[in-house]
Parts: sequence; structure tokens; C-alpha cells
Amino acid sequence: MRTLGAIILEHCAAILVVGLALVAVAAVIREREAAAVVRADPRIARYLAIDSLDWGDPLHRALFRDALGALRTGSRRTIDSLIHAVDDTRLAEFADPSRKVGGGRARLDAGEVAELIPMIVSYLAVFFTVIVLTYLAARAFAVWKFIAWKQGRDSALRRYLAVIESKGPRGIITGWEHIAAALARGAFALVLFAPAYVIAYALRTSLDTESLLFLVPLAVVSNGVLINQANHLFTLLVAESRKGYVETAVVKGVGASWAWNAPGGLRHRVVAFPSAGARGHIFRDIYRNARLQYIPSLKEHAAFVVTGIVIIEMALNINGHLCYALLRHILYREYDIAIAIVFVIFVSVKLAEIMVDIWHALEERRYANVP
Amino acid sequence: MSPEQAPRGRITGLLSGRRDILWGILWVGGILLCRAWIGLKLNAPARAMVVDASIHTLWGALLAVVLALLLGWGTALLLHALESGRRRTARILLSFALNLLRSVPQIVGLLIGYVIVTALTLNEALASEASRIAATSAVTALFLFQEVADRVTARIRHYAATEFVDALLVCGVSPRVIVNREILLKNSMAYLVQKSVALFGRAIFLICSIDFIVSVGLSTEVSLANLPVTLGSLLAKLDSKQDILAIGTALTDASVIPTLFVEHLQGISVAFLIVYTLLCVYRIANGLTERYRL
Repeated sequence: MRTLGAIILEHCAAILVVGLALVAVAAVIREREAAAVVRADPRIARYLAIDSLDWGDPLHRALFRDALGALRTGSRRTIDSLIHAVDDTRLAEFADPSRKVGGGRARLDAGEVAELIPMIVSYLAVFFTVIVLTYLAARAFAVWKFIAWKQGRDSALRRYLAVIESKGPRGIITGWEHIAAALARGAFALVLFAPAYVIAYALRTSLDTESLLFLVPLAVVSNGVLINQANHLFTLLVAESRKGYVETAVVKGVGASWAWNAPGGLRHRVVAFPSAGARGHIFRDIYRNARLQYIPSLKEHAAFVVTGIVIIEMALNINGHLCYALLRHILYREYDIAIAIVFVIFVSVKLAEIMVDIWHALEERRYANVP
Repeated sequence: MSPEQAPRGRITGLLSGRRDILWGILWVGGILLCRAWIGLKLNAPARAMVVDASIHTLWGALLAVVLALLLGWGTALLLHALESGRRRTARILLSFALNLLRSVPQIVGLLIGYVIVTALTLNEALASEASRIAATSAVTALFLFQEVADRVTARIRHYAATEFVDALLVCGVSPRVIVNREILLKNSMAYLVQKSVALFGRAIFLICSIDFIVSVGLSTEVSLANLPVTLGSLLAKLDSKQDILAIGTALTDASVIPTLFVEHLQGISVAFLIVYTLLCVYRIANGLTERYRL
């Protein structure tokens, strides 16, 4: 098994490799852009530089032709080919893609960095807040679902079908409360699975969708982030509850009643505080062991949380935010700034991964059978 | 049986432990219902666009899953070969590269991939619509295949720790056949099918999201006319956005609700197709996990 030091070293090496690769990409792009800029032949450039000469005006062109003829700088044919060359150069300059989007592109200089820093700080605050809130919400959701599963509670849809089966067509009406509950749960599930932009656009007329107070909860709830995390922890809880030690502990008298508030049962606070709220109950051990396996998966969730934040900021065009700035710089082909932002996003994911690895190592040490 | 557990009858008993089938039926039923409704109420050009977008999205996601499966399977086999061949340095380098790719947020990777697809489209390297769908699917697969590689590697390691592999080796079966046929094809199919379904949902989510973002404004030169229309790009169209905005109005003014399904049908149906498909695919994947105890 690798040590924590080796794991952190690997993360740092990854940051270094990606950093170097992005610097190389930025250098190549700059070089290509410089090569792609149309440079006029110096012999033609001096004619193009005459301010008083409008090449689009036929009179000016005729005067230029006559002037060259009068100065006997060449034959009529030479003058014609010179004017053709001037026209070709002007056309190439006009069609040059680098001049199409406004010319003056921003570069990664001190001014741009100063502009990016508040955005980076805001992005990191949002990113880590969303990760923490998602973890807490997913944990509560998974614990609640697991206890409901242990209680043998059926889904509302299944209860509705059961009513129809037992009462016949009359059950279609009498089981209305089950179908209402199923529809309400279905609507809630649709919200949890909806991509952030669908929810955001649906609420845009009623709420300020550009504020952080909207952005953070949206990033937690939407894009399937919460439901996927919760389901992962739920699966681990189920797998853990099927292990032999659980039965042994129950036989030895550890609390194992899954009914709410029953003697030896669970209190509702266990949903918010699964470890502290289940003292003397087998759930405490199930949860702790499942959590140990769940922690490493938070690294993947961190990358997915970033995906959610990027989608929200880009789709809603929230000005002044890092991910929207990334989209804007790609749009204006300011690739060196875009690359710098990509690097910041990559480093933020790596920071989250390092924190998760440290947390996992500390948790593992607590349970390790080391004298 | 607990008080909250319903008695099992014919229908509930049939669906007990087969939630994947139930949700599969609900998905197909929902899509057909939506198709019938837009057939009745949506004008012909918009209807054709919704149908085209759905087909492009589903094909794109399916192709991405197939490519991710191939890539993931191949990567896992390569890792296994390096591990059993004791080529430690090569294995560490490959693992390092895979971990590095894992840390790139999928949407950022896709965005970079789309910049390349955009450049290829402008250079007319991707002339046909099919080639553009294939290119975007390949980019999507590049950020999905790791999950397949992880799953395949886990299955190989699980069996390698048992006597199953030794017994087959003693019987004279070659290691390549043991891994590909005995472990993966015969004993891990349920795992791979479940993973494929989950990835299908993830691919639809990513394709729709990236197309939405691109359509909002990634390039001034590549328009929707250049890239095949998908549910994401269709949702980004102004009229679809207006339809989604109407949902917000309906929250405060109930009289708007009936008009949502008639006057704002384009955006509502596209949003429904995306969200409902994501929900059903997730439930199908969960149902498979439950049924096969994965």
C-alpha cells in the first residue's frame, strides 16, 4: 500500500506535468498565431502605409498608376502586377482570422492576473462550499434512504399498485394518496436530475439567478450531483449491512431496531449526525465502515462538482465569474488566459483530492490494528 | 412484513427486484407519449427539429458508450498485461496518466475537445454530419472510459485473488482467454451492462450540457448550422429558452400552466426529454445493481 507522502507526491507531480504541458501548449499557440499574422512584402507595405491613399477609391488607384508611370519605375505590366499584389495583400489582411474578432487580444499580463485573482478566490470559495454542502446533504439523504430500506418501507408507486391489486379498479381512486406521494417524489427526482441550466432558466423570472445564494444551492441540488453521491453511500451502507460482523454484533446484544424512537431504536437526529446520533446501535459501525470506503470516491465527485459549476456559470453567462471568463477567453481566442484558467481549475481539483487523501489516511489510521 | 410494506400481488410481485424493467418500460412509454403529444400539438418544422435532436443525442451517447467500453476494456487489459509482465515503470506511468486524466473535470475536457472539433469543422476535415457526431462522441468517450477501465480492472483483480484462475490455468486455458472470455464475458457481463447504462446517462448529460454551452456562444464561426442539432443545442435556442422561462411564470401565475403544454411545447418537450431520460436511465442502472446485487 502506498504511503500518504507518496500519494501527495504523485498529486504534486501531476500538477507539475500539467503545468508544463499547458505552458508548452500556450507557447505553441503563440508561435502559430505569430506565424499566421499576414505580413506584407516590405516593397508593398510602403505603398500600403501611404495614409492619404485610399485603395478602395478608383480615382486614387488611377492617380497612383499614373504617378508610377510618370516616375518610370517600371513597365505598364510591372505596375499592373504591383497593384494586383497590393490588392492580394489587402484581401489577405482582410480575411486574416486574427483580425476578425477585434484585433487587440488580451494577454496574460499583470493587469489580467489582477483581474483574475478575485474571480479565483470566489471560485474556490464556491467550489469548496459546494463540496462540503453536497457531502452533508448526500450523507443525510443516504442515511434516511438506508433506514427506510431497513424498515422495509415500500415506494409510494408500489403501495399504489398494491392497493389496486387488492381492491381492484376501485383502488385507482382510493389509493390516491399513494399516487400523489409518488408524483410528488417524481417531481422532486426530476429536479435532482435536471441539468442546472434547465432549473436556472425556469426560475430566472422569479429569482436572481446570478447571485451566489442561488448558485451554490443550485450546484448542490442539480446535475444529479447530490443523488449520485447519496446513492453511492447508500450502496456501500447496504453492502456493509450484509457482512457477518453485523449479525454477530446483533446476537451479542448491540441495538438493532430500525424503528424510529423505539427502545433500542434510532432517533431522527441520526440523519444529520449518523455517527454521534447512533451510539449503542449497530448502525454506527455500519456507517463508519461504509464511510471509510466512501471517502476516496469524493475525489471523483470533486471533479464532477467542478463540471456542475462550470455548466452553471457558462450556461447562465454570469459575468465576473471564473468559468464564464474561461468561455469568454476561448470565444475571443485569448488562449493563454484560457489555459491559465484551466490550470487553476485543475489545481483546485487536485487540492480537493489531496485533502480527501489526507482525510482518508487519518481515518484509516484510526481503524488500523497497529499497536 | 413491516406495516409500511405492501403485500405482494401479481404486478408488484412481477416487478419486485426487476425495477430496471419497470423503469425501462416507463422510459419508452414516456418518450412515446411525448412523441405523440408533440405530433398533435407542435408545428411540423419544430417537431422535425425535436425528433432530429433526440436521434442525434441518443446516437451520440450510444456511440460514446461503445467507444468508452472499447477504450476502457483495452486500457484495463494493458494495465493487467503490464502488471503480470512485471513492467513496473510502464504500469506506474500509465496509472499516472490515467489519474491525471481523471482529475480533469469532464466538462473542461469536453470544452477543449470541442475547440478541436470546431477547428476541424472549419478546416472541412469533418465534412459530414455523421463524422461530426462521431468526433464529439469520441471526445466524450475520452472522459468516460476510465470508469470502464476501473470496473474491468476490479473484476480481473477480484477473480485473480480466487482459485478460479489457477484452476483454469491448470486446465490449460490461456491467460488471455481466461481474462477476456471466462472473467469478463462470462462472469462480469452484468457489471459491464450496468456500467454501460450508467455511462449512457452520463454521456447524454455531458453532450446536452456541452452543446448548450457551445450554442450559448463558444465560437463566432461555428453555428448550429455546422454542428448537428442535439437536445442541448435545441434548448439553447431563443424560442426554447422563452418556453423554459414560462415555467417560472407558471410558478407565480397558475393560469399559465395549461399553456405550457401547448404554446411552449418546443422547449418544454426538449427539457422533459433530457430530464426524464436522465432519471429513467439512472433508475434502470440502479435496478440492475439491485437485481444482480452488484
